Amino acid sequence: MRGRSAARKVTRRQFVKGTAAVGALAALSDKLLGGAAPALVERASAARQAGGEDTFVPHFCYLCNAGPDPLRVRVRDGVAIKVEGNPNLRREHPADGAICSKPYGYIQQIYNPYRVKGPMKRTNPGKGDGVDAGWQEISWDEALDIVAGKLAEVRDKGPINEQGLPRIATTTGADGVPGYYNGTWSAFWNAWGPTDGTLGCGGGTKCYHSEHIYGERWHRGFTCIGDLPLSRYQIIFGQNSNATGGVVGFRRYADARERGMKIVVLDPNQTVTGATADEWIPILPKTDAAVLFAMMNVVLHEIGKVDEPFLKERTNSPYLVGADGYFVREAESGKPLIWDPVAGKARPYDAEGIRDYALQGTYAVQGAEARPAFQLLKEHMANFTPEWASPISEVPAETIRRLAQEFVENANIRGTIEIDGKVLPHRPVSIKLGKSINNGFGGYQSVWAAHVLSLLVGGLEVPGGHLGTCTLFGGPVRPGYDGFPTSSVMGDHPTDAENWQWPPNTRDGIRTLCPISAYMGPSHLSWKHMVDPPENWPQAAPPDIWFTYKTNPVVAQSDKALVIEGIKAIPFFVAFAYTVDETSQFADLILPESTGLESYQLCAMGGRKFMENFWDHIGYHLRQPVVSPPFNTRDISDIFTELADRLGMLEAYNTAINMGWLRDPKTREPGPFVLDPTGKYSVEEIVDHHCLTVTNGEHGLEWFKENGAFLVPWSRLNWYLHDDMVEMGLRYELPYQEHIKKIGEELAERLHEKGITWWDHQAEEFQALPEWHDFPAVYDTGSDYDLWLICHRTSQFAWANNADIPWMVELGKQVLDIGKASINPQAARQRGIRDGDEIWIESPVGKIKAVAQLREGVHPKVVSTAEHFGHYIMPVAKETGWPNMNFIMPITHARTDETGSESDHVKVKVYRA
Amino acid sequence: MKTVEPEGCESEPLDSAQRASLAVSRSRVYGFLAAVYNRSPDHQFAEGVSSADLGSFLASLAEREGLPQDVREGVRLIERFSRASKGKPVDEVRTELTVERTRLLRGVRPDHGPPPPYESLYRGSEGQAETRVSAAVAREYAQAGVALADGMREQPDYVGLELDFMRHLTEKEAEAWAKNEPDEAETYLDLEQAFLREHIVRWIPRFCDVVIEQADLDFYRGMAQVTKGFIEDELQKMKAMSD
Repeated sequence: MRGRSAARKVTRRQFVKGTAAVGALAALSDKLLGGAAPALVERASAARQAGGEDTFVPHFCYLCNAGPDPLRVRVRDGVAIKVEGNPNLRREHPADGAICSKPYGYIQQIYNPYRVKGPMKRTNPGKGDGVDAGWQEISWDEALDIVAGKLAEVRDKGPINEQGLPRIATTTGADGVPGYYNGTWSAFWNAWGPTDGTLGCGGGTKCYHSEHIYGERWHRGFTCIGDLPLSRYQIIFGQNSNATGGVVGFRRYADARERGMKIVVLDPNQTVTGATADEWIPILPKTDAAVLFAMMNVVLHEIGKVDEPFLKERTNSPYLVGADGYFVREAESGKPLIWDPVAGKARPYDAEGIRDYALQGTYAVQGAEARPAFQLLKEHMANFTPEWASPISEVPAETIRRLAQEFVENANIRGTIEIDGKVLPHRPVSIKLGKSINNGFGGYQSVWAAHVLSLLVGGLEVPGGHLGTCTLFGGPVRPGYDGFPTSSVMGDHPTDAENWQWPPNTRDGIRTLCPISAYMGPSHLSWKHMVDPPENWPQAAPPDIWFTYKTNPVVAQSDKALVIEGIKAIPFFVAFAYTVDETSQFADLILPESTGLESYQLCAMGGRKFMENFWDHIGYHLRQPVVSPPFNTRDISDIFTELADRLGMLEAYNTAINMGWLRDPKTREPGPFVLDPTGKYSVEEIVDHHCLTVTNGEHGLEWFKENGAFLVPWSRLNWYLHDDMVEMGLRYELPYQEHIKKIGEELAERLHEKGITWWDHQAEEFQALPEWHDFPAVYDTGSDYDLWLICHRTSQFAWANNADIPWMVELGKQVLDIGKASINPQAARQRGIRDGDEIWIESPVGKIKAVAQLREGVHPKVVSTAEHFGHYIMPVAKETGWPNMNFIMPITHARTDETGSESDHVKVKVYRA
Repeated sequence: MKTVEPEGCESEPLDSAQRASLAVSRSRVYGFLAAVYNRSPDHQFAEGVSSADLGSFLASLAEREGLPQDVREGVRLIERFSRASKGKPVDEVRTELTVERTRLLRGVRPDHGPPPPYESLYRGSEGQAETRVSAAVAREYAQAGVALADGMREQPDYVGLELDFMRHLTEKEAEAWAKNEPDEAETYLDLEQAFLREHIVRWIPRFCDVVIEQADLDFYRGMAQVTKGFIEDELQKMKAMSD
């Protein structure tokens, strides 16, 4: 700054002309704004920040259910500029600190110019698809007052309406993802009272539903995986594991393949998983159970090699079954009986001194004939030969036979392995099922058969074998009825005349229709029951208020028109929304919560959870703001604290937090760091208490902000239920489903008493030994519709709510199976379709346009698209034009199975556009 | 500081007081424009817009000599809005303004108003990653020792913040002139010039054009036109100085 003023002489000619006139504009400021305060102010700290070194903020990714995985965010000048793996947690993380593609798009979520930047309320009461809502940005105070006022009105009326349905409905999407982002959402609603969480957004269709219901029931197999680090052989039916297994799954599959593990994939579509497997076998949709049944037939009737000790001691195979299909029970104790061939008599299954159990034969017990469940299983499977299954599935009989042989040969029956000083069975084989196998009719049969095959070789819950993922989720194993473990997650709804739920008390009717589905029922049917109920079923009144979070049912749920009709009938709709999308466009009020990179939550990490993410460490990781949120958003926990305060329910809300996050991890009782129930806490304070709770007072929020995670070693013995089962003398409730049979019979009676016959087919599915039915016929809509339309997940988009992130879309365009409709060249030729042609895919309920992609890796009777798309409102995503099969799938009771699940399948005709 | 109209011969250099006065004047305009983009119209704002007092002020302002054409037309549009709003319930005017502001400035969704006013978005075609533009602007703010005021949340490259940054720089320039520290004042003038050229003119006039085309209310169409005219005027003056 040396004498430069002399060099730039500003003259009157240059500067004055007009300046005074323009300057007069400034007077407007005084008249309109009253001397508005500036937006930018001088701060010493700002100057210090300038040009400083980059900082790294530890964080985690839970954009899909395969997480959480640690990461860190590079911040420069207060702006997040890069997401990368966290090298500081390389030792603990099973994938050496790597991250997958999703988190790379995470940063654009912060700076997305089309995100909702402050609370907005609708000014146009007329709701319609694409109709301008007349959004008006309002203050948080105004928004929260509106919500609290509406909730108070409902509270005054009572939380349950005249039909017995909760007046408040809540919907969260993306399966388990919201729990890692929605802060005190659950605490608030727990404090509030009854809510209806059954307005569907694709759950039950897009999940692993049968595993969730049956797998969890049998062995905490809410989802099931193979123990890849110790596995030699895996058969995958229709699961795109190499797209959805997360970064740990990808690493484990890569390591296993390198080690020589064989992977066989049966799938109508050769996804990335099929493409990287040893063998891809095309199969017709909804025929998986036939192949699995035939494999069982080969094992039981041709190979004849099974793990007898396992079947006798860890399953209900020896339980005696009477002619009525029920277990024969001891009169006094009611315990099921087994046949002890050494003693030559029937004894309760857990009697002292049993030296052997009969698995086969017929025995005279209590004056009647009884047979062990295994005997019935063997007889039941006798007709399901490979030759029977082959024309159904189009999988050659010799291939089915070979798969069964390979499965048994690799099972290492009677082999053992030492884990952390303990000798356990080692059965390095498993069968995995994908979502569409697990959903809709045929799901029960498939998931049962996959489990029983594992059972036959002793491969359930042992090293190398077929593992359930949710021990931690469901709490420790506890004894239940008849010597089986029970799940605290799942439980049966009563079907006896006295306790059966009538009228339905949720809009989907889960407690009335789906007795074994606990809280995971036919949520798609809520829309049907509100708009167009079936015979003798009460039309459900819409909720007074609907709250949504991380969900977009208009796109994610089938039958868009029905869903929209249902949404429009809801008097007041509050959307926690990141963008205005196909669903939030109908909201009366939009509340933008801070995104994952802008808000706080402490979440469990490591251990075992949902996917192949089994760790040798366990603990917690902090999610924290990596930068100051750039827009007028709020941490969702702070939003709920404000609502609780306005509603005068802080005490109940804080108590709910104390009973949740702030429970002592060991005792499960409220711990020493609980909140004062009468206080009002910021999210930082709440999370600080949570940090202290999980570390027994060792580390608070500040420590976690610096270090990210608190992880301690975790023995691999925890990966397997086997040890607990042995110690408690428990058995898997397999293969025989006596309890389910009883439930089905009672359910049919109850429904018939109400004149309901449209659920007969579902009630009949509850069989002790499931039967094969013609499952493909469920989807038959006439000969015109001659191709199956199916869909698959992708690693870039599954569960992530990220189709509006430009970087992800750009990436998606580079991926073979995203955005197009894959069709076999032979099928394409028959229809005059060439690669790149625009085509119509039409079902009886509508049609969608797509670009054809000719691939040999698709079954000739199938068209396949990726899910997650079809947006027509959501910014960025709408530009892709990528198809969405949901738009041409109906919501019907006939497509819904006994657990309340429907499947992503529809028969279509395809032709050039 | 008070606005003082400079006096003297056209070729004569301005003295420090005159230059301070000019900087104050410019600063106040930048501050006004920034505030219009940063703040959601409140009751007072709506009341002021529809007042008879404002209408006559705008009418006389529009007639002032030396006003750049775009600014003049913009003022006339605002005046027209003011006149049309007179007599309407203030809440109605406020709702009209806030709904329009939400549509024009908040990026509710594509095809529903202009692309929202972020430099990174308007310069996207120049191959700049959003975060890079944001980071560059944030660095300029930090180097100048400014940060967002308490309670203010915005991305650094938002139109209202960039204009407020110019308000800050011109304010600092004015202070320097007033303290008779010409070198410091010139330094601020350099910063103004650089920020204007590197950021403001590279996208805000384009944004204004879109608003002018898509606005439903004359108020925001007028403000966009005033903004565009003022920036072009600023640019011309900077060019003149460089010549």
